[in-house]
Amino acid sequence: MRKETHEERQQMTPGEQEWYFKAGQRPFAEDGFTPELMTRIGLEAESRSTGAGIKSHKSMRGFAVAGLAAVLLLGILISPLGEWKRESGPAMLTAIPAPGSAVEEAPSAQAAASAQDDGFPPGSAPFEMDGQQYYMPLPLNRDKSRALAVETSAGIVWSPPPPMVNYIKPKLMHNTEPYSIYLTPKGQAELSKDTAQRIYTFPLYAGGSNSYYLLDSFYGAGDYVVMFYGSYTIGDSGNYNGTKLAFIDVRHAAAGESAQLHDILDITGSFSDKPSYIAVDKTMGSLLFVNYAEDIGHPNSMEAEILNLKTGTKRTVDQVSELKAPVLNAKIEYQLDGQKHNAEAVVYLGGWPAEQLFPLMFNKN
Amino acid sequence: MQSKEAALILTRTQIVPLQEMMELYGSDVWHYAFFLTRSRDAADDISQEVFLKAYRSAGAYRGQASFKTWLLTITRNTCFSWKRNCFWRRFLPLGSHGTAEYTRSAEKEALGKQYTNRIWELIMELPDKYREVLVLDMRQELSVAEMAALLGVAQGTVKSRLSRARGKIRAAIKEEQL
Repeated sequence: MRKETHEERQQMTPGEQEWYFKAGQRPFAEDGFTPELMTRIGLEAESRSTGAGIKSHKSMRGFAVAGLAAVLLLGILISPLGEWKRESGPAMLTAIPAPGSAVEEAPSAQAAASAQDDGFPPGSAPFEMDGQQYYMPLPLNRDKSRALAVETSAGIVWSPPPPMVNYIKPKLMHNTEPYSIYLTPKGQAELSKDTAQRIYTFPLYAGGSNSYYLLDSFYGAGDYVVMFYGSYTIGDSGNYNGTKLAFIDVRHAAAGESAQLHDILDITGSFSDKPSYIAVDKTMGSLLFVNYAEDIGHPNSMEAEILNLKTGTKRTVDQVSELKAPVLNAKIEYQLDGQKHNAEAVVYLGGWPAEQLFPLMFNKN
Repeated sequence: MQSKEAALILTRTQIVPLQEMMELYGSDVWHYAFFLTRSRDAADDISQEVFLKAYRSAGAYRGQASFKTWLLTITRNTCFSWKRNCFWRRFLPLGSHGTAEYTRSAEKEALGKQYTNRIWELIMELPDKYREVLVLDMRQELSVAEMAALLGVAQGTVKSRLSRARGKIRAAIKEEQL
């Protein structure tokens, strides 16, 4: 079973074998998997099997279990800027695991860089929206997978990836220009600054010379563009400083009014093991927040609330279709005041069951 | 080794009792989670999640990989989920700040004092992809083929990463005259 590695180890120098052996023994004075932890897991398993409810992890930082439900009860706040955190450099931050893959980050809904780019200028990021081809000309040193574009009622809202430095030093990599958001009329294939209206620009620095703002992803929602943005600090091997869900009323911006970035939520780390997701209702210009209080398979355990971006009001929905797996752009049906509406899931959060994340592993065929 | 192999055979016929599963693989899962997240709290939480998932789903285990590799795969993906959900995990109202991040930051500062020797500090400073293969090789004793399957990369990539990871540690040891 260890043939290959043993062969490799035989090629190691004696000195190397020594440190390899030494380090391979144990990294800590005591085993991290303690009897107390084992007991805790046993109790949790018993709790779940008897339906006694969900116990928070010892380090779930109190509010974790409340999760989205708590937020929905407390109300969605609108307030000024904040910050977020990252994993390793200003990379794509998408929360939709691709079923069957090893839960690597999947492409965001709007980064349609996989589209055909035949006929477009070299380096262009191609997009297809409502059957129409668009392309964003970019210098060759830009990461076109970070190009964003979505359709709104007022036109195509897009943002080019800014130039970066220190590609070979991920901890030091950062953008050297701020992220900007542009608006181009529908049907105008070229998404270029020369022919677009700039509607918003984030600051470059986020409170210090080593912290930078990052625009992560876009979603079109009728008259609005919904986005996740935040900031990161270079040299910090940790994460993003914070994440915010926000929106801009594109229609007002198109009319020449000053675009306002409205923050909706601050998404901050707190461990939870129950699934949840956010869906966009493009027709209604609303965001649907769904949280599972129990495991998947208990449709009555879902809590769902809709946020109307125009009025800022939020309401509990009458019904919402059950989503059993975190599928990219899953169609969601919900009912409000007896009327059926449709939304598209764009962000998945929390703990989805392993069998949903790794269907191949659990495939019985 | 004997007992673990016995457990592996057991899983093909029936569900392994949770307690036995934890006794056999608890340390492996916890350490792997720690090496990926660099956080003891996270390793605790992730271990719990992994064993609960595995216990709930063990009946679906098909035996294509060893039970340990199966558990480590769940661990790895739970870690990815944990990392991603550091900001995605839950919705919090503006103005609220989870203590988790601050806890982890403080924990990171103390990490250097936890290891039994300087070599582990050096290993933990490696980029994720190098640290991971080194840990899988040294601590989990997976074969190159098993690592390749777990990581979803070619065996040549695993060998390359292992070689580079060792090279980086070798250079650091030389530089520090350890």
